[in-house]
Amino acid sequence: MALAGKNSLVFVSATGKTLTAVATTAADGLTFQVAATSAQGEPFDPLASLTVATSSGGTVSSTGYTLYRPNGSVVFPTSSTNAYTITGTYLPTAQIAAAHGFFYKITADVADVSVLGAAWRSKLQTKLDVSGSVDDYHTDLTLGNLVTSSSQPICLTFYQASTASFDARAYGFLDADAIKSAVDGVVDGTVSFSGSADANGRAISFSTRGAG
Amino acid sequence: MATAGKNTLVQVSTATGGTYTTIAEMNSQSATLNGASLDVTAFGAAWKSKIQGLKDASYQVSGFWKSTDTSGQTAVRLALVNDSTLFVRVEIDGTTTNYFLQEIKVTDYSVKSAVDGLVELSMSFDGTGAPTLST
Repeated sequence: MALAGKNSLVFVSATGKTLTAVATTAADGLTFQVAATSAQGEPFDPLASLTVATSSGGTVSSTGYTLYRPNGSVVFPTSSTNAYTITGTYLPTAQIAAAHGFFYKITADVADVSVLGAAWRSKLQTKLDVSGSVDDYHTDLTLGNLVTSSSQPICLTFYQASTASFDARAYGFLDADAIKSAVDGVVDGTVSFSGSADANGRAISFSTRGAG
Repeated sequence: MATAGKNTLVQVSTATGGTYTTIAEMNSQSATLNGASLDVTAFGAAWKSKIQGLKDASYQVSGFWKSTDTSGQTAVRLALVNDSTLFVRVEIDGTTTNYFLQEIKVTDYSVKSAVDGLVELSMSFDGTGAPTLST
């Protein structure tokens, strides 16, 4: 059944906060999740370095775990017996209170690789991209201010029905704020978003609908 | 007699001979086959003459977003993000006797939500290689 848009929410990240040697949080000690204001965890900074260490202080190679920056999680092999600590930076997120709609799109460029003798075109995927926009009333200037003040990538989180599970979380830049008003209406804005990949090559993540 | 659009089904599969699953909650689609006519008109002609070039196909599908449609909506999104193989079968009248079937590249996956509307999903596919046309 279709979902009502009124239940959707949009969160935006604020300035990064440092984590220093924070221990794994899952009961089995195999998953680290940034726990803060979001029920589903906060994202890691898309570009800042992250260090994983054993409880004895030894640094763990990046091949020894899987890092999901948008999900704010570090997952260790089930065969692991170590206790781990994480040092890095996460982005606390907060709801955009004046948002009343959003749109995001994932696009892929395709290259034509048709060859002589073919009757139909053949194609290959080249680059992926993410973009979108958030519609918000001009009473909350959080997003609009970020357009001009932030030179660092931000993180937008889109919820469709519940904050227990986000639909999508994307890194990128807020690159425009179009503000319009009319004598018989309210001041309304549309903030445009342009995705940008994190240090691990991922610009958007989906928490509940499979990887990627 | 006209064919009712309500019976149309758009299905996807990760293998051409595999199981095709209907993408849930869709309510609009368009499938376009393009013959790419090339103008070969020469001096002295009053009317244009053309020959067929490289044929192409594209698909647009839209409807309502559904979080639990793993083998439909999610399969499309994963094919886009992971550049994995995906086939589409558009059953024009909802039967297996009138359909287009083709390998595709997913080029667009868009989600839209507004406070006074519904959560909507639209997707675009580019065909690659020759399609199978039932009729």
